[in-house]
Amino acid sequence: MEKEQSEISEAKSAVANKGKAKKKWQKPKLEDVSK
Amino acid sequence: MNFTKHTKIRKERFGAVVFDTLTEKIFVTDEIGGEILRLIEKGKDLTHIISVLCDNYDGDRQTIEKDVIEFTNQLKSNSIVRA
Repeated sequence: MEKEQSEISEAKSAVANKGKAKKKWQKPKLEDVSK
Repeated sequence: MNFTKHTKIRKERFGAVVFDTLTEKIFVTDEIGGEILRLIEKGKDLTHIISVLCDNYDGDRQTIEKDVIEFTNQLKSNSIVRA
């Protein structure tokens, strides 16, 4: 049930993103700010 | 891949804040890092995460794969996730 909902929400976001320009890939950063 | 018990995630506009309650360390990550954390939270495996990011972002698969693996290794080495 939970898996189905997750798949539905992913499909919805895929449809919503269709036609939109893709964002440029940038390397993800993880910064320790323990500042 | 799952979050360790002592890890708390807070989603933000810029990405996410990760708080390790055991070591009291605080990490911040950007939008893409936040998306990776969101997918890990959903219990997705590495290949699925890479596929989703390849669909959503403009970049070659090899680069995305390398960067995601590097990022998840960082998460593991900081005890944020476990394999």
